[in-house]
Amino acid sequence: MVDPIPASHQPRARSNLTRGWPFLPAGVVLLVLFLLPMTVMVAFSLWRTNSDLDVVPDWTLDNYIYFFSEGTYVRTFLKTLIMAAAVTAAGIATALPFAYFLVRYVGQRWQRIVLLAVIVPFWTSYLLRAYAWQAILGEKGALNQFLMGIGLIDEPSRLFVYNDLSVWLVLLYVYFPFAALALYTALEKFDFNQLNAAQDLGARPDQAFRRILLPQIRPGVITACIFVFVPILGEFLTPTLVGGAQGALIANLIINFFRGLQYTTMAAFSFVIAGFVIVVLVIFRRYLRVEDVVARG
Amino acid sequence: MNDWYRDVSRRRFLQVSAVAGAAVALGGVAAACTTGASKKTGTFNWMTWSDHYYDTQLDEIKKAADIGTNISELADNAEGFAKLKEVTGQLDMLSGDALWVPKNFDEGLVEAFDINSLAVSKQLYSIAREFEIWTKPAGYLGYPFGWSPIQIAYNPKFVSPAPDSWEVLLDPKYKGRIVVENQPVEVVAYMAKLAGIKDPYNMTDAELAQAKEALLRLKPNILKFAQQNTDTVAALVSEEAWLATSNLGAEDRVKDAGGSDVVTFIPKEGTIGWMDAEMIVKGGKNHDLIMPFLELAEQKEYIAENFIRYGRPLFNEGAYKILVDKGEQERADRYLYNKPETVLTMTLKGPGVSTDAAIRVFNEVFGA
Amino acid sequence: MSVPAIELVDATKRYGTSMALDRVSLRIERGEFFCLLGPSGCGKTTTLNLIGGFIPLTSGELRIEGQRVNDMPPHKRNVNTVFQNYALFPHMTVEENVAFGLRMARLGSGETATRVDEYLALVGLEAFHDRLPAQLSGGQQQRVALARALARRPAVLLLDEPLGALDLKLRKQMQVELARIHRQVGTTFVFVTHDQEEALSMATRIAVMSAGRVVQSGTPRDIYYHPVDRFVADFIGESNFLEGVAVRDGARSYVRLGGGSTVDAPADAPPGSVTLMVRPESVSVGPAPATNGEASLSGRVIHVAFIGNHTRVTVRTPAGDIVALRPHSEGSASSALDELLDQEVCAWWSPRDSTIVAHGSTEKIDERLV
Repeated sequence: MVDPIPASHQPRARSNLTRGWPFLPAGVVLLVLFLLPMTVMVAFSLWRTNSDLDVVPDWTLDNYIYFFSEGTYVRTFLKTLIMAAAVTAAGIATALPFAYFLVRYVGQRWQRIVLLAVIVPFWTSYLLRAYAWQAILGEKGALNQFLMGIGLIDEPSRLFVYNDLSVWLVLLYVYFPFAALALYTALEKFDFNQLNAAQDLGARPDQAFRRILLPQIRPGVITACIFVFVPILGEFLTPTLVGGAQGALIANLIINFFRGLQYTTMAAFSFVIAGFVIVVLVIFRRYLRVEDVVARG
Repeated sequence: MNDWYRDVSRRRFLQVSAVAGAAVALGGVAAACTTGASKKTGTFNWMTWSDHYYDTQLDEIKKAADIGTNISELADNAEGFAKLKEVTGQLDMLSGDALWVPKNFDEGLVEAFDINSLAVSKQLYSIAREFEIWTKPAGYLGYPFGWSPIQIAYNPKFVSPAPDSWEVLLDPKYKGRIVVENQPVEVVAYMAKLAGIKDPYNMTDAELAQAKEALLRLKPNILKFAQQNTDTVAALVSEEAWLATSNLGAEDRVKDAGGSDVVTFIPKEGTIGWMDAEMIVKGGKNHDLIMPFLELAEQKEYIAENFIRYGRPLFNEGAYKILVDKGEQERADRYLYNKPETVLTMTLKGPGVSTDAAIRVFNEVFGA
Repeated sequence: MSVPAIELVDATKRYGTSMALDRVSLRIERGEFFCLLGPSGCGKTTTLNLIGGFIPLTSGELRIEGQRVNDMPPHKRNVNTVFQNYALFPHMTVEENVAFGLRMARLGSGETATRVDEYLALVGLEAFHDRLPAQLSGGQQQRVALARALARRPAVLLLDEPLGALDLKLRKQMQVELARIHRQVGTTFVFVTHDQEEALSMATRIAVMSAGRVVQSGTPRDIYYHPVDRFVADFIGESNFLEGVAVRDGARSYVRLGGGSTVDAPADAPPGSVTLMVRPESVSVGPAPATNGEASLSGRVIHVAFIGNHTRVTVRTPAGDIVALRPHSEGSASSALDELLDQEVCAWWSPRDSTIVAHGSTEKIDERLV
């Protein structure tokens, strides 16, 4: 029961403009660093580049049409989607047991140390880490030496590097921490006693896992998926370094246009990918929301 | 607490910071405007490749004439061109290849100058002062620096008979044993040369189709694309690759890195190459420092030392004599130093009408 | 003799070098409301977890309804648990929680729905089918946990400190509820608590545990009036302890206490140094003992406290301090006791109401009781 504010102290009727003052700094940043460049890019995607490598403002949809008319881009994009899905699946399959073990069976202090160990590679240059994998997977690399050492193969194998397999492997290595951290966060909040309760009520361990644990860490799993799947759609560095002649993903093809100063083509292709990502995120977001509602009531 | 009081404080804060921000911005602009006074000493901004200079050289020039350099790394011509368009006067000197030089000039980004007004230019091979593509009525477009053809390097342990043509890259014997540069337009140009096409940077559709066909045959032979020359050298050293395309000097670099002997040759169908020059940016802030700098930096002693360090032919004739005196003749001759006319037989790298088409061809071959 | 619901024979559980359970043997008969009582660390929760199947035995036998279940995993045992923090499934409704065990047993949707309704009605939550656990109060959550565990009609229901998280009033309500539900379903209940009042009020039989052993098991009355040692006596209810030497004189026994006083001892008192225990409510205070044959001590009243429905009088005697609890009945003027402060009085009790709780020269005092 608060006394009503006397009329003399009541605020004047204010317009929406003055009410929005606090948003000014963020708004400026958004405008200058995001909206403006995006608008330029959209314009570029609808113009063309002439033979002098200048951007000419002739409005055209050719760039977008080209993406779909020339089969290689759609095929490469599909390949990229498959690669992203494969890395996401493998990432979750490896990160989930890892995070589960860490949360359930490892003491607090060691948990922190292990998490640090997972994050530390981020402090090293991405390039360096990918190069390291070249060395490990190559003909004279550690993997071959090991396999020859245990007698599994007689000659060094060239199967492991400069192909799709090595791209998949290195991407898995690079993105594992994202999945691990997202799943760790979700599992940390989980009350493992519920698994005891489930078993007590007659559920086998695998049933308890499926019906009690998985539904409750679903937001974590979805987060892990998004943080692995989406960035891979833009990956070009790893395919270049360890993909050889066959490992090109869609971003590699787009980068080729960028380096040749074909900004208009590049912009259009980028927006096709970006559009797809936005659709994916919208779907994921609606799915997530529904789950949140159910969980929180 | 009443709302209105809090809102006034917040609004006041934003107003003050907006004014402060404007003041800072204005001050910055003012400061930028006032530092335009030209002087014969100071520091200028140079965008170039890392082998156009060496530390001791720059230190000595700074000591002698108090001219310092602020160097930014140049990756490739397209990037330099784009950057210069973007920042104009903030750069003072830009290095560039062959046909990119007149392109920069045509875009009004760099200026022509009287090369003979520089005393040091007399040390150049005369051919270097008379390249048609760098000659305009207003003067010469760049101070010539160096050149290199693209060669094919191979490891004779695994490659025989000794090849002499681009064709060797398509030989199925060498499946997965070849490294080429990660430069789509250039790789397509190599294939164009193989197909006998005269101007790989200005191809017709029919010619592009020919190049594409060769590229398809090249694809299975490629081990990987090299980001930089060190990648190529490393692959040859480890013997994962038996053949590679490279600038001059690959055999020396492989040897230095502990690899076995590789042999290099220029394919008989002709090759791509580059020659580069230092361009003077139009309206650069420190424009007046360039000529005095060049007068010193292009001296034959420095150029000779540059060759010893980086190993590719340069246009300074005087430096060749120094190299001979220093006992470097064998190496210099191997690098065709005393044959600058080779440049005229190469197809020079540069922008062309079929750049976009070449990228498309590349993507079609190496995409999924 | 019928097959007991639960039987532990020499059950031992060792963690490294420490013994959580040390050769515990127990019989819990069908239909009992059995309580494991003791201070923290005594092994009561370990015993419960053992029965539930969440931890394995190091040695010994565990039988449920006559069947040896040492190695049987929890989901196969005919035992269900109400956990201390309820462990409800937050992503499922009340109905789905209760139905979970039935789905695991593949009961069929019709039978499942019927049972869910039945057990939710049993705990008084008929209207709560579609609520989520987060929308329920602590007491309601506990009742859902109860319904969930009972729905499978297990042979034994285990409850781990069931009333610990509830406030006092709710706790008293739930004590009544649990007793009612137990009578109604007839399942054997085994619950764990450290609260002796809870144990006394709900259990049909109690096992008092300490340091991994069962010290005494029996009905609440047995334990209260005839504790076997000082630990049990001190843990349950309040006690007066008097040290002395018991002497037999023909048919009579008496105990010589400190300060020279002598009191009559209970009939079965063994001779030697002993600790005598008498409950405060058995002690009367007044100028002189009411009848002959009582054990009595003289002393001075040093403290009188009015505790609502009774008064607590502390008398300092040469043998030690004695506490008496005098209820307020209709006849007596309750304030009469207040006037006794600082007076010389007698504190007396019937020898039948006293017990010897320790004897022998080496009397062990349990540190954990402090």
